[in-house]
Amino acid sequence: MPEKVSALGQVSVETIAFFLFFICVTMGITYWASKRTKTAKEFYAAGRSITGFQNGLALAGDYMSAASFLGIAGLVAMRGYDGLLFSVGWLVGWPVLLLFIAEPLRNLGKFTYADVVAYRLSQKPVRTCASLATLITVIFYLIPQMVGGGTLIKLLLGFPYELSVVIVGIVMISYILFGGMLATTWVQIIKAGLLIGGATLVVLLSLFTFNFDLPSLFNGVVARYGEAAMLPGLLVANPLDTISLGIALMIGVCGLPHILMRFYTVPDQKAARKSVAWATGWIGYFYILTFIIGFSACSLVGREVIGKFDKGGNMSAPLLAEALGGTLFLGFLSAVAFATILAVVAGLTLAGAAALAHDFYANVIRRGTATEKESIKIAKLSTLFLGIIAITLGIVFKGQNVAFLVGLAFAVAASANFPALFLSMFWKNFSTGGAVASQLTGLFLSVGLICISPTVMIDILKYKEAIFPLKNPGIISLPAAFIAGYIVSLMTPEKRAQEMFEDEKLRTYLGVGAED
Amino acid sequence: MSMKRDELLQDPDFVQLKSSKWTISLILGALVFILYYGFVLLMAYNKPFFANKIWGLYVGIPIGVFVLASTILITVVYVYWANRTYDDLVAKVVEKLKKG
Repeated sequence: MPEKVSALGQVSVETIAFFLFFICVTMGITYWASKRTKTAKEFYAAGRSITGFQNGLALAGDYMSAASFLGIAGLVAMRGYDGLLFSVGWLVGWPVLLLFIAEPLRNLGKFTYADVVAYRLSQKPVRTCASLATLITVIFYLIPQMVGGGTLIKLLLGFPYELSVVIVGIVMISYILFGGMLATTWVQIIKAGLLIGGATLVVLLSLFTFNFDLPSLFNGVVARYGEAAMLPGLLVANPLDTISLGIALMIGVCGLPHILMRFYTVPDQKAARKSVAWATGWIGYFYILTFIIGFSACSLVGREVIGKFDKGGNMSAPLLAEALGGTLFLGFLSAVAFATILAVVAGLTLAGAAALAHDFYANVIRRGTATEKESIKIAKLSTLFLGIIAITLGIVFKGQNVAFLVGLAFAVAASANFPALFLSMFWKNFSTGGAVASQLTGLFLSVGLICISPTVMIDILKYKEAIFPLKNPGIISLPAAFIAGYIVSLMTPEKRAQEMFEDEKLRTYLGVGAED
Repeated sequence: MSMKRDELLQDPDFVQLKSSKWTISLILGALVFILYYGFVLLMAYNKPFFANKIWGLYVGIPIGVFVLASTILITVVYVYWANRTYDDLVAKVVEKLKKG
């Protein structure tokens, strides 16, 4: 590493100060929230007290992980234009979520998306499968966040990896244990504000360097790295691969348990709908910022320097911040990245705990007889349990290439969760057997196919060839889950579920009888 | 209750509410699909196109920003429609339900 190029990786007073300030503020919020978190509705759904605008920011906070901030900026800096395709792919799921899922989801459910899938069906089998799928999605998503978090804090602050992972785990567990969904939501909102504000500032400062002349920014990149930086490249070498990943990303958003759970924090379908539009706006704006940040880093810092800190380019945004605003700005942005990781893992863990406590314990084991107190107690135990699992897995997977797990989490969400959710809301003849078949087909097919895909067989296990040709299984596993749900439902018709569909319609479209 | 429910399900206002919601959702959904996959396929099959310039910028940059911005715009259009039209229809049908 070159001397005196950057303060990155050294413990700096500024970073620690920002960092402690963030922890103090969020712990204060957690204390405030703990006074308002007594019932199950308050623990899982913040008492449905969140407004559409607030939930929009919180959704954006849940979605804009450190991976998307540092990763997309890095991808653009190192690979050029391809990074934009990536960010577009991450955004297009949101309108689909709004147009088909958000409002009926809010109207039909209580705390989790499994409430909706199981609405007309046998609770036990459907919820068992849904909680299994939720846990697997959450854990696949958590591992790269924890590993990324540990690596990032080590790179940014110089803390040892294991210590970083443990800090992330403990702080995140305290948010949820004491403040439930209310604290988690406000942590998300603050973090989203910091992230969007910080990124805006970086963009303004770098545009200032170029006298707000966009062509000169891009021409600088071309002068240094050639026209290839502005043209589509490696990512679209295999279009079928890109389309399959695109399906998983687009539909995956509509099946991510921690995103779906957010819709129960708002009072009604109107607020649910508004929150998606706000979230889409914030996320889209943020992606445009990361794109400019990536190219500015490429031009102002240079690929050679960025590559010295991290080959994937993950450090390009912090390095750009340092080049523009010195150690103080680097410290601020590093603390923001840390806040991002904390908030995302908190949201994920809470969704996992809800699946264990609300879906599995309260509705499968106790068949709905558990008291409120018991339910919350189990939810807190689950939080602790999942938190410890997250810390352990974060340490176990140290130094492993786990980035592909995010793609897998989206594939599982798209294949195991979405088809069952969609069919349950809109298809009269959907049956318990169909729901179980659809969820299990989606789950095992997406996980199975990725195990024999180039992502695992070539990149990780170092085989020469992979059995399944595509990197992401979405294009196969999603339709398969729909077909399995369709065929098995026709084979096992359920009269009661079909009759209930008519009642459900009033609730789906009008919100009559929705949980308040 | 069940008689009333069956009547309401046949009610022209409720039928209209359902069909207009699906029409809007399917049209806007198709638009998202066309935008996104159009972009992917353009990148995959017509790379030389991206070497063109417009306003001093490589053409891919305004195209990419356009796709992101239209995605946001689609959600705004839906919410605008739903706030004005859909909520009114819902209120109308709920009123009928209450009156019985």
